[in-house]
Amino acid sequence: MRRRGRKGRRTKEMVNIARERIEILFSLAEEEALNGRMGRANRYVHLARKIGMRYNVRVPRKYRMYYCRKCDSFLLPGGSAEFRLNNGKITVTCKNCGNIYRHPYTKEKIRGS
Amino acid sequence: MRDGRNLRKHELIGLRIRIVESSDPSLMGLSGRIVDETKNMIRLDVNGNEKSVPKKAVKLRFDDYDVIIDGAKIAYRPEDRIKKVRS
Repeated sequence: MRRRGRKGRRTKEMVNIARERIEILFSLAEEEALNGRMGRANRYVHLARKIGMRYNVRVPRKYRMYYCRKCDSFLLPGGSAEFRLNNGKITVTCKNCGNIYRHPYTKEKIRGS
Repeated sequence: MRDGRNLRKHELIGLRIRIVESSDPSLMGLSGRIVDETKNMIRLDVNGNEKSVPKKAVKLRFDDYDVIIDGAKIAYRPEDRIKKVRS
């Protein structure tokens, strides 16, 4: 019997499917969050993250700010999270677990100038 | 892309299905949108009501893709399905 390559290998096909599924789940999570069904939105984020961890795929950049890495909840501005501009940083507070994220938006200052 | 061939490995949440074969007569003909999935169950939204359906008891028809899938063949955790399901 012919061996099918290394056991448990991640093929390109698997990674592509994983990437598409994460994209689909995040867009569904966004839709459900906007309709006020946070439970489902959080569940979809959780599933998407699990797929990402299993196949070593990152969350797409456009959704990276919109989920909580600590409690896997979908962060909806004005809903489940507070987005504030604060001292050159976007401060995102998860209202579910209270975790705070700070995303700087000014470029790093050149030293000595 | 999601198509009829890789559907068993792909995301099922959000798709519309109809149950075409079941060992439980009360599930026969049920149709709705998949809203959640676990290893053994699929959660369906049937006109606003949520219903849990055991995967191992049903065959599902995906009308948008014109495919029938045996639920027993996809009875894995959603993130395991990509690796474990044989196409």
